Amino acid sequence: MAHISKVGRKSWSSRSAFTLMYILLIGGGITMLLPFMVMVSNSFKSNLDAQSYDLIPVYFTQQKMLTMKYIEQQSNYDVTFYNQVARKNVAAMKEMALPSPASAEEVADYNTFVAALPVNYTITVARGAQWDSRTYGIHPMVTEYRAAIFAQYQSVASIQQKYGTQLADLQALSPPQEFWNARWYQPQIDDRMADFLAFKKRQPLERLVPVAIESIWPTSLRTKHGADIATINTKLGTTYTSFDSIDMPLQYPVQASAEFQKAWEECIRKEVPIWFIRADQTALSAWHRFLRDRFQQDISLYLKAHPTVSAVSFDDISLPAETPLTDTIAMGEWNDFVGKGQNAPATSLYLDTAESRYRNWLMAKYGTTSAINKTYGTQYVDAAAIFPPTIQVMVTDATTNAGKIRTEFVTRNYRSVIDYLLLHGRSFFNTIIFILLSLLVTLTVNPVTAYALSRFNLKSTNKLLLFLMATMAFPAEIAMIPNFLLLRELGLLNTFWALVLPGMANGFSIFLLKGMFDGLPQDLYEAAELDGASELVIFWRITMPLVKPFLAYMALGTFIGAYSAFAFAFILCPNPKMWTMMVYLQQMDWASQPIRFAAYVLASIPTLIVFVTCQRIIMQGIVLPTEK
Amino acid sequence: MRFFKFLLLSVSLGCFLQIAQANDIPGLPGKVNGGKPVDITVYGLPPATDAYDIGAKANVAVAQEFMKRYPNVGLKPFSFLKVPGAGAAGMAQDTDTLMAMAGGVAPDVLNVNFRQSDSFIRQGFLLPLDDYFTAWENAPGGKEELARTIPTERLWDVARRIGPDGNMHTYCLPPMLYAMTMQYRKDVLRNAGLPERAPKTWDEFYDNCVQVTDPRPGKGIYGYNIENTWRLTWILWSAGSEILKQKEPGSQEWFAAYGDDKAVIGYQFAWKIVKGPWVICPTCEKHYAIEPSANQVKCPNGHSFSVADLESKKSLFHGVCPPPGVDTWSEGKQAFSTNYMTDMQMAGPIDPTLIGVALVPAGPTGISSAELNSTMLAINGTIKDQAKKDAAWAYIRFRSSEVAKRITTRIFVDGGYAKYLNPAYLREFGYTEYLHDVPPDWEEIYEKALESAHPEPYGKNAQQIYNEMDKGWDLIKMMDNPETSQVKMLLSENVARTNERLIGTIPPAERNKRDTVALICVICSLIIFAIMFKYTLAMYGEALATPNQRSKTAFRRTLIAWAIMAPALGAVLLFQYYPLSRGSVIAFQNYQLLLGSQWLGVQNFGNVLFATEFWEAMWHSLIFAVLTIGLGFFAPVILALMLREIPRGSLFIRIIYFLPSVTTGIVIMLLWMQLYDPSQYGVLNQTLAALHIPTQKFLTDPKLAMLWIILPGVWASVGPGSIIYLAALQQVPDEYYEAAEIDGAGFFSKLRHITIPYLKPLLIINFVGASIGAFKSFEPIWIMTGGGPAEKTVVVGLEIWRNAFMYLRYGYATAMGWILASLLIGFTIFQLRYLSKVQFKLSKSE
Repeated sequence: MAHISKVGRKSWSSRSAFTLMYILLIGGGITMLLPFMVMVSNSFKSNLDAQSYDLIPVYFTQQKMLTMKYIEQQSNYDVTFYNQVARKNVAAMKEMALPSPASAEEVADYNTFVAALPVNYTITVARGAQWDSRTYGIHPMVTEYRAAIFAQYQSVASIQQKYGTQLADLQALSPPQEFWNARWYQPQIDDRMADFLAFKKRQPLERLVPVAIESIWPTSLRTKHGADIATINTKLGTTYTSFDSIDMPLQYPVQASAEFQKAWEECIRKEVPIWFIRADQTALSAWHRFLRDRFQQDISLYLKAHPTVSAVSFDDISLPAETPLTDTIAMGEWNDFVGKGQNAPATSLYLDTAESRYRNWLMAKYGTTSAINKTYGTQYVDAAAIFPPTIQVMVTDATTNAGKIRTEFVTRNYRSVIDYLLLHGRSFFNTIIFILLSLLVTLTVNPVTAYALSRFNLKSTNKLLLFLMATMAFPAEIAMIPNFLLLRELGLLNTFWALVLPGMANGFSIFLLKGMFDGLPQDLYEAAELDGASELVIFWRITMPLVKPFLAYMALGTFIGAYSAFAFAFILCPNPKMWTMMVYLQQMDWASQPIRFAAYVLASIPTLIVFVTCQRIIMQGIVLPTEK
Repeated sequence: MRFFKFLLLSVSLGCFLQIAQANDIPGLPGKVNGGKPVDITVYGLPPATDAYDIGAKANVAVAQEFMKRYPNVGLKPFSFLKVPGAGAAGMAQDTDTLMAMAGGVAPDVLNVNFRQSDSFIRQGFLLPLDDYFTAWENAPGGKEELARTIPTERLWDVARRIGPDGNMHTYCLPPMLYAMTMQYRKDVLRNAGLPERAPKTWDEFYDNCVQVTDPRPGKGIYGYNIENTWRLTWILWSAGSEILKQKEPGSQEWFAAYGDDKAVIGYQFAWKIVKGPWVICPTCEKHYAIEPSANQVKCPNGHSFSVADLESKKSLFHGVCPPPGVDTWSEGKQAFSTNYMTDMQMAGPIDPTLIGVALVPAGPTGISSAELNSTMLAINGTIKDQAKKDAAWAYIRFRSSEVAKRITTRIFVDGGYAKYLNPAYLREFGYTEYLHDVPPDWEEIYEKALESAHPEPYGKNAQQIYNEMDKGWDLIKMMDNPETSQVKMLLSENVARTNERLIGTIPPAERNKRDTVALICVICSLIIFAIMFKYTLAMYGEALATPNQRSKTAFRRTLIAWAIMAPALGAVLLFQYYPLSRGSVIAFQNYQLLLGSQWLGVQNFGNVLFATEFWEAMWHSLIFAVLTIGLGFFAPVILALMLREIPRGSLFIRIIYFLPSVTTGIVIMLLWMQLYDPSQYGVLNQTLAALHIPTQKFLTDPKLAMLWIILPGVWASVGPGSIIYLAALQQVPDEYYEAAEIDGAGFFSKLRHITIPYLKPLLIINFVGASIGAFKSFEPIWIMTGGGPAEKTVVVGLEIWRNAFMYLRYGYATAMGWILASLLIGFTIFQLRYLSKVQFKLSKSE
């Protein structure tokens, strides 16, 4: 209220000047606010809604978005997996269409069915993606898994020993990858996997998603022949109308065209995971021939590889009823037997999928499709049209448990970051130590030196001050490299000393402090001296309180400096055990954008608190230059 | 004494068993550290927690078998920081081990590839393994196994080198060879109506790429990807050129050779792949390549169009590569890729039913040649502890042994991955029944690729070769029509630079010229520094004179005073004066971490002064400083003036503008990096699209990246920066303005005659400080772009930082620091002088 005169306030030009200023200030203010609002809002999101940038996440208020996010999570954030289960072909999760929810009876039946499925017929909702499971935030199951394994072995070291892995800490342990829906996946059932499968058996049913195998067939056709259904019909002699309606033949399609049979055989042999492929008794002789070949006609070699089997000749060995899960040798045999044309005859192969099991189970329970339709309110034409209502049940679950799921989603990114920043490694602890040490050192060394210079009237006061300040004239670049080498030679790299010592004394702060001490009324000192106060008392009781605002300002600067130090913390302490929070934040490239945003929000809290509480200190500690 | 102890130990039964068991590997030590625990850190040891990948699983199994044999040896995986701007993803290991070496946290067992080997050996980072190798050779069966492990003389040339002591030593053990081959996706080729085989010649290759590529929305299929110059190597070699060449075979002297006519042909071909124009006929959808200069083109089916017309129809395309940052190969949307085949794992975990392997297409010379490499195992040269050395040797020896290969083979076969293995191993370890799983031609292709392959360059400083080549390639990539003469010119400049930077070959006349110039500059700046120092002394001597000098202080009090001041004085001496003086020395040296430093005279200065990238960096620094000051210096002043002026809402607005300072600088930068997402889904791009402004590439845009780097800093500092001006404005007594008003002064005259004079000291100090700061600043750039794209944001501060801490060229970097300081000396003198003329007071604002 200075440049625009008070008198002319109502004039046209003053008014327009004010309007202009407000427009500028508000426009600028919005650009100040928006990035933070995006950051905060997105920190509550997941991949599905991360790119919509609404300022209040839609799923806070909208059930549909919440359901979609729930399905995204249940599909392990994997669109291919979703497409398999939902029998759809969407390019991204956000394009999914929600089916109507399943009825209560259907949900109950479905759960009974899922509970009875073998362990390799379902995938848990937190198998982790192909990369680190932290990418999408830590699902509660992962936390429970860690706790369960820890409870079993009592220490990280014994887990490490048992599993033969290197674990920095418990947070480094994540559930093994489960890809029962992929042909390439042939896990070794070692201790880690066995423990996980035992843990999996105890999981609530909503954490298990049945593997969808019959979607492999339309996908396979699409990959090989393109998205044009007419081409497929011409080539294979089929009468498909759309990809959604393509059913996978579970047995060798005897009636179909030769091309179709070839395509089916190739799909079974190369694309369907071996767990779901069975061979009927017509393959028995081929099985024996295969084993003879493999074990060079020597039954003793076979028995050595399969110590639990008793057989006199190869002819005694029966076809496995299920794909062996724990025996890698048998697994390899089955893989080769069903995978190759010269081994198992194509006509003997059939599929035992989760879908077909559901179909059979339901038909056994209700007898006819019309009975099923009556109970569920569905419109199945025949048994072949029945598929496990996995997605429908998810929709129901998401609606009934909306509150719980929402809370979980709101807090997940933050919990993941806390798990990583605070628990995993020592970055939080390191940062606190670093800040405390910096504060302690700067707030003692500088004031006492300034005090000595101001009070003790040494002959060389000026020279000393000059000595302390003269290096300001030289560029930091030159000293930076030798400083690093010096710390290296002193063996101080990767210690707190490397971070604290070099910046301990600051000539400029000493100069400012000394100036302030000089300016304090001398009577105070004289009075204190008369009272017989010691130098320490004078310093602590008289001098320091008088420059408190500036000390507070210095402390604040030191805090901010230490908290936000990056480049030097990076180079002086490359050892992961010594990383500070800022280095950790920079190294977080494993995380998805929402998790990073959550980390940035959390990392801003200490500084936010300091600024809010220290507003006055900042304003009072400002030193202004005036010409002499 | 030690030998005696060893004898005593060896007779003990346990030890005997140990040796008996270890005997199947010649040269493997029986026991290390006498069975007492010893830990070693190992580079690239998989953290086995997620070893679902079969290769990782095999590595874990090998490590577990090792730990079974040596229960006292603990294997610790090595983890390190991800360095911003360390180059392309695959090149990160080039710098991180070096930085770890400098930081004293390097692993005991190192992975060294060909291009890195020289800098490691030259700096004494690798332990000579001669004794271990001798023991291996002399062990029963050792000679034969050694010959199998290092099968060709070409490999011995890499493993056995002249060390810093001038003698020949063996430094590395290559347990696995890599030969580069061309892989092709059968389905992509099939969908484009092409035969499912790899092209044999360049022309066929390019034609296939054009046929498959369809960058239109919804399709996104591409031919091949040249993300960096590493992917160019096979083109250059197949053109018949060389990258680095030895003066004569076996010589330690290398020079860059990719500037010849054959290389030009190679580069022109590579240009076609990334930039060459081609068309999808709007009428018949036929893909065909066109000449860069064509105006009117005709498709093979006879449909004729003008280029401008095609452009408007969005049917004209440039290059067959996917957009940067997209890995279309792993998504199955790219027809060709060059990848390594290893002697163990023929083609990585790829499905032979989907992907085929072939030799790289032959160039016009008929040569098909790609890269030979190996992840060589080596031992950290800084290890002092013999037990650690032995344990490290035991580990690398075990890793390279037949036993390890047998374990790997077993894991692969058991996991159903037999078809990915080299048939030689299947035969050797008795898995003959799997032989027909492996595509029959793979073994032959591998042998042929190995035979024709060029080892990756491994001469002096070769780890920088791709970075240096990138600089030429970036320019060629930007051309609209790569005429032979122009390409040749660009390449010869690039080659000369590479020779100078990497190999240090500078003609003596040039050397003399540089030294002279450098000497003059050094002397001049020394004189200036000396004068300045004296001047400062005088100035401050005056300014700091305290008025109330007491005549004499008691000795005891003096002593106390010195004791109190000791920490500060000591710290300043140790961490400011000592480094400063040492820095003055290092600038004249070739400083090496482990080995003695050589005196170079003014060479470092000469090299800096004549390095184009230094002046480029200077230019970028100038742009950076001008932009930072121009955008960032006045904004807070204006904000403070406005805040002082407006009648209400000032506090609220102040809080909002102050928001960015509630977090740290790095969070601001990381946050903005997320906002700067160059895809159409990025926050800012979505906002721009809503405002009908074309989307931006932000930090990946060579022209504007610098501006985008600066904006977050400006944005974050407007509010906090205005606080001090606000405080200063509050000090101006209102009466001044009132008096001026009575005199009839208007807005601008009040500003000019009252406000600005009042703010002057603050403005000057801040301006000079900000200018100096802007020239030295590098952190935002380091974090946000690392100097890219195309080195367009490399400022001097970053150049110093990279040379010192990433390439460990301390002397050179320090010399650069001195030069920067000399150039800024005017500012510094002014700053110091001004500081001595002002006094600081607490503002006492509310």
